[in-house]
Amino acid sequence: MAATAAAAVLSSGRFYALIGFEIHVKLATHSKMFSSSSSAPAQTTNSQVTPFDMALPGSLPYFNRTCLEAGIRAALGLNCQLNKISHFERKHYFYPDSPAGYQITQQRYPFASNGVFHYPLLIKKDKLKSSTKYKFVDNQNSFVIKQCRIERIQLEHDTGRSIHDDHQNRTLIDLNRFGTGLIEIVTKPDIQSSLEGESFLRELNRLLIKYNICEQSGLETAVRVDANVSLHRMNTKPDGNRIEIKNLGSFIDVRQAIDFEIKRQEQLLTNNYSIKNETRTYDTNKYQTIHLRRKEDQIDYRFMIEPNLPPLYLYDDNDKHIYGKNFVNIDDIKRNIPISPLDERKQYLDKYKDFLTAEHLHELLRLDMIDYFRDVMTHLDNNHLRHIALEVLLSDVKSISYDGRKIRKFAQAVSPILFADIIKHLEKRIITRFSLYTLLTLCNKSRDSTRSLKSFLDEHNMYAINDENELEKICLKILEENPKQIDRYKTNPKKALEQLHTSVCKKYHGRIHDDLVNDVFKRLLDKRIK
Amino acid sequence: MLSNKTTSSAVRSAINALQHYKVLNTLTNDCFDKALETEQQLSIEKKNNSPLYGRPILIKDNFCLRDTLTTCASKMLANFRAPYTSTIVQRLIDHGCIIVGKTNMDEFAMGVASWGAFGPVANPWSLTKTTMTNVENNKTVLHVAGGSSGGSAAAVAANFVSIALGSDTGGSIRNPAARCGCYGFKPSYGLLSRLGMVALVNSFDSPGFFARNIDDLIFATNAVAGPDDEDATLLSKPFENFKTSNELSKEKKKIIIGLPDDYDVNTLSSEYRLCWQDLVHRLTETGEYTFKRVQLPYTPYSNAAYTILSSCEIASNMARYDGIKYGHHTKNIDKNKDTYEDILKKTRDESLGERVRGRILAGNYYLLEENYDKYFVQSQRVRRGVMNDYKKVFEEDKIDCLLAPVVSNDPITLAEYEQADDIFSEDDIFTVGANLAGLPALSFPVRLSSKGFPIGLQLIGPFLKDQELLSTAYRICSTYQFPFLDLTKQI
Repeated sequence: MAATAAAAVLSSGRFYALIGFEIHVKLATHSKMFSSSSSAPAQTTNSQVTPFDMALPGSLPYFNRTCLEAGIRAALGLNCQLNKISHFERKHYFYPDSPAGYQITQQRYPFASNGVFHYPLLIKKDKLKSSTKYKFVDNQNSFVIKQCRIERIQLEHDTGRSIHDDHQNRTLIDLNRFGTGLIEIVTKPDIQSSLEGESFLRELNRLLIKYNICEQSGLETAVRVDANVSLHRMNTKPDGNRIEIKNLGSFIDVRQAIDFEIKRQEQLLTNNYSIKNETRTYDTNKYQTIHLRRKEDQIDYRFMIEPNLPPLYLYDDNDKHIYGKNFVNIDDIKRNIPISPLDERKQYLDKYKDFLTAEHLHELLRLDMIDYFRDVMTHLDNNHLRHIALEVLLSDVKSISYDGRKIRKFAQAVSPILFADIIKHLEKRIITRFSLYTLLTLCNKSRDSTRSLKSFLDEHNMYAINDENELEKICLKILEENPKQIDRYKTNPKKALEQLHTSVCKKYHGRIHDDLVNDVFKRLLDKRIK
Repeated sequence: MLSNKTTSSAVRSAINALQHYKVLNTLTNDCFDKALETEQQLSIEKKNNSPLYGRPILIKDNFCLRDTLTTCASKMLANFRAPYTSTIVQRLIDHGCIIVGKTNMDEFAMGVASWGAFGPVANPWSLTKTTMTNVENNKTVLHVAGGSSGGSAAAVAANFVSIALGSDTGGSIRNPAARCGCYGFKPSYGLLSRLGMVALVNSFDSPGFFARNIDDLIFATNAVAGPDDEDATLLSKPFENFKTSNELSKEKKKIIIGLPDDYDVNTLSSEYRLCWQDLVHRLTETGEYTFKRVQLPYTPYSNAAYTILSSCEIASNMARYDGIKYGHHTKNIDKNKDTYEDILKKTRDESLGERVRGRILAGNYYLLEENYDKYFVQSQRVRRGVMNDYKKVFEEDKIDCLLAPVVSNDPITLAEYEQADDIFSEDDIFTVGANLAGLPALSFPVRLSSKGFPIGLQLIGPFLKDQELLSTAYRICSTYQFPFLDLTKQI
């Protein structure tokens, strides 16, 4: 497995890895960056195309203000310096999905640079101890927080979409996507493993969604990642060479591609080959990176200042001459920006300190359950209920959602209100703790997310048996069916009760309260003995 | 041939003239039928107050007009019908102008002879030279009309229409105006919207007009100038109409005109230099003008800077012509062998002319990473030097405007032009400065040369002082009478 191989390479102490990312984020704006057509995804082919989007002769770009505002929010969230003057440039290359023969981007003069982003390392604490040289903070209330410096953020637009039709040997072009606003975030190579890489990207994703920079949509991936990876012998200086891996579409792909590369480069270094600049692509079927082009074949993009767009000027409160005018003010945006995910988690730790620890929060993060947790908490009004909810989230829900992988689907099917209702019922002992797994699974499978809890309980008869008389009748029946246990009780009461408990639970799936039934059995058996 | 129903149809007269003088090749394609329809409609509808209402005009074929062929005189766009109308053209239509046709030009506006894929425009003054006939075929010898807006200039100079739209990137309005004998006005960069005008060099391109009197230049510019929320390079200030000669105060202040020594180059013929000097003398005598010799030291470098900067932007702007979305697409496809790149190469090779391909090649060279600083950035520094030269002259030396030549000698014949090898004209030195600095400039005819061709001069003014420039031009041109050509009289 690539993961263990890569981990072995890194923990051997003979090598270290430098990893950086170039992340393309699709901005959540209504219209495109330089034209007025809609940027909504999944529309009829070529229905959202203005003259500029198809590079008609005589067409001109006009910059979309909301793209700038989204970009500034990203820069602030990543603690970047905002460059008050920046420029748009043309990046030239020929490709059918690029109608003008160039892309408008910011190469030499980006609008933001020199930032730093802190992110929690997502690993089970027991695994942390065994993996390489990470500083293990043995503190109940803290995460392992790492940092990655941000080199720059630039504004640019997306290309069209190429659809390869191998049957008819042709490529079809859809220009709906052409021109939609992007920011490209370029990090410094501060990431040192695939684990750090995934942790960084997950936290970044949280920030981008929270700050309304991109959308979390099932229709299109809002975030595309290129990774730069280079492995070096310990105690040698990096020579600047690195492998670029393009177009990684998911967190898993990023992890696997990095791990594969680390192992591959280790082989090269061990056999005394040096790492030369190269561009590779990731094959998701074979879990490998594949060569695309060498350094000598690298394209010269002939960057040139975009003459149809004036320099981009940013203003803040110090620029008095903009008062009263409708210019974008960085300080205004700063004042209105939401709290960062990092700070928000600190708030939770404080607010729920009666029962919530950093370890809990870490696990919720790892399972991608933070938002669901937050929403559930708001529907429960005391810490006792909240504590129960947390426990259920970290056990039953974790399992039902396949360790968090299907948490989004779960959150849709089992709304936070419904979940809160279940917890309240549990606390009131209307249902038992053991019925939760089945109940939650049923709710998760249901297509109707508006169904009431009562309808589920009624349909599947999941109410706990709280009536003493009824319970006694049931227990008597069980005793009748299990005469061996009656005898056993005399010599090994504990084991007998266990077996009886097992039997009754088998019959009345999840409707039995442990303590109640135990008391009843004890009472009945003791009576018998007398 | 449509019969002439109303004798007073201006459009009909224009059509007749254009058809009669097909030899001048002023049009790439016509909108005759639609123009006649429009004229009918306008005469029925309520008239608006525009002085342009009902006027037949021509527009250079690099301006998009909806559902009309917009070819830029190139094979690449020979079949291109624009799905939208350029802002300037739409504003003219809204004022009641009637578009009679699209005028011929140099391919993609590159050149000074208006000789694109559809043949050259001929200078209308060639037709007055009854003594000049080709010995071989007894046809009149034809001369270049200047470029790249030659078709528009020739049509106005010959009085087929009174106003025509052109574009000036390195002199493409002023040059043909001087050669053909009419007024050509390039406003300050940032006044007129470029939306819908096929880009040549975005940083220098400026739409502008040809006319037979300065008031018409003003009417036309007033109709179209001002902000357009689709062009980010325009000034955002609302546009204040230029005043015509009637509206200006009659008070005549003294005008200080600069004579740039650096434009007095060796290639300027003695006849054309004399015309420049004579005008200076004449105007000095009126007592209303003072002339000062001024220095523009960056002038010798301006041509090089212009060449480099324009080639770079041209290479970039031409990258869109791949035949996939519109335009010419090669039919010579080997389905088994040809890659995307192969087809792209064939498409562009087949349809872009030699001059265009030369500029693209040069531009791509200058834009290489290793060359960008040496050429592109350095040229921008020179450009700033050129701008500062003008600024210093206007602000420190208190000059109102400059008077300078536009071309250095009589136009050569079309045959001579075909033999010639040069890509760039030495006359560019007179015109590119105003484009590099974004300044307003106006070319006006002064008198005829000994061979009977118009000699023109130009005024160059400070940035955004277009009103003053137009007023000064009017005053100067009122001191004499130029024998404007009118070929319609001979039909």
